Amino acid sequence: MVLLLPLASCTLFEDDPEPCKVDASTEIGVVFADAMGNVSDLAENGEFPLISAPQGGFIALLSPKLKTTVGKCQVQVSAALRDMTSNLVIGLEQRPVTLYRHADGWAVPPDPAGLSDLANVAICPSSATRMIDGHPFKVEVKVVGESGPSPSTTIVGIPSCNDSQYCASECSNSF
Amino acid sequence: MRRLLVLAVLVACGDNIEPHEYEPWILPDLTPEQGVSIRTPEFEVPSGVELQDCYFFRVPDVASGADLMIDRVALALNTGSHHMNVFRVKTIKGLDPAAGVPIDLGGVQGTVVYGTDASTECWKSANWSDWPLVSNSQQSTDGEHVVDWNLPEDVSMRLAPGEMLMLQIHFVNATDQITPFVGRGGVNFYRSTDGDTQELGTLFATQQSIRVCRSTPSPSYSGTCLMPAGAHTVAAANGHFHSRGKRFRIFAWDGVSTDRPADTSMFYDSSNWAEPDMEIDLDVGLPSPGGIWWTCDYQWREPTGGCQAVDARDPQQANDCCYTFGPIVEASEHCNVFLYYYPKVTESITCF
Repeated sequence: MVLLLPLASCTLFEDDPEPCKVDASTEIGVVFADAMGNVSDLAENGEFPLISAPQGGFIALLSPKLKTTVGKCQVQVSAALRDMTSNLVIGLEQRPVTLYRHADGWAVPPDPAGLSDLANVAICPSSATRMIDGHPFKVEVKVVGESGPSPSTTIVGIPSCNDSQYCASECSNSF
Repeated sequence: MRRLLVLAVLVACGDNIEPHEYEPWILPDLTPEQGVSIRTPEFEVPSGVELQDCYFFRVPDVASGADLMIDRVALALNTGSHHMNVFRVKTIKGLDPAAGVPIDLGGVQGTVVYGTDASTECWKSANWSDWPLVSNSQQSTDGEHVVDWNLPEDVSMRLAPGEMLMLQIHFVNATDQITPFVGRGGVNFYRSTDGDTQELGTLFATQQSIRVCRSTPSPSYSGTCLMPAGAHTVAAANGHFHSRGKRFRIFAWDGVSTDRPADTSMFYDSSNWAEPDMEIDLDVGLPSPGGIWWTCDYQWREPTGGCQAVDARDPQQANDCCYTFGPIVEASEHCNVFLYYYPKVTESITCF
């Protein structure tokens, strides 16, 4: 009877994801999600959408994708947008995400994705000193490890308001 | 035998509990020369209820049309409050002061939009997404009902006569927090008389779309907020999350690194979700360029009433007993930064 409570509290539910096993050599790429939750690879100099966030402002949904051997795993990710002129980070978020391996070996967030399935990088309004909509920025993603080197990658991407005037106004340089 | 022993101890403890008498907090009523006093009425917080009311009022003209420079703020709350925030009203969306009920706020006339139901407008944070923070308190324990903040030397905040402010007050009388008597809040804005030359600015930041789930029981969320160019000193700060929150940390950040700053850069560290520390004696120079980094750590636990309420709120309907972003203490979570700095560089800094 005494043992039952500790055992119950440690029970793993059937769908509980295990931690992703990664090291600095793990292949890594960048994916984004649009407002409909569609997850896509971010190509070099490719556009990614700025999404109206429930709390207000505009965010980008970004995440690493990883080459893994397990079907489903969880990892703490970091995603950031960096101004290539000033080298300042305009927005950054770190959060746990669950990745699902596809037939090509890449593990990516669920597709379609919910808002919480990728990093919510708050971008507008911000203290950016130049226009954001339609201009290139560095997108930096990485796995945040407890210790030791972790995979990371940087790609140039272009945040896009997709012709939303309100977004374009919010994402003009405010300061 | 052991069960009998436990019962005996419980009975003994119960016998020692002395019912508290209601002792209302007292703030002095300010004369126009001294400043502006705002008082909510007392109101019932029924058992099992969370309520959030939004009081609107215009800054009284007590200086012959001149702006009021405020260098001391006192905020008072009855036990059971979850928060009290004061904002400057900007874009009107769903939360309209004109739709409120007229009310006397201790001599200042205003309106109130009641929020006894979490689906009403006073609960929807998007309604005040561009309303700059003026001041806030989360302190309401017995004997410590008042946050009395003297702003740093030579620093004051500006209130314009006629400017519309909103005082939002949230009380809980449920499982996570208890309101033993009645709800009530008040604020005193004290006028500066010594010619302060620097204006106080505020920053509000939040993590969106957070989840604290049974399958991910110990999540951690971090974010950054880059300050506009210039030298900035943090004067005060407090963090805000709900009862799954275990640790709230705020760091000075160089604006460049994507790694969490070293602990030597940490200027706020609280593990008290219900009465988080309002650090008012800070004197933290932020890197220039730079800003802040904040981290919220959580620990999931089974909801007292079961998972039904949290599952019902989950926009992803994952059936994983996830506490998701939202204002309801019992069934949702937050990760919000309230920060006060000087000199002010813009009407409001928001990062969300």
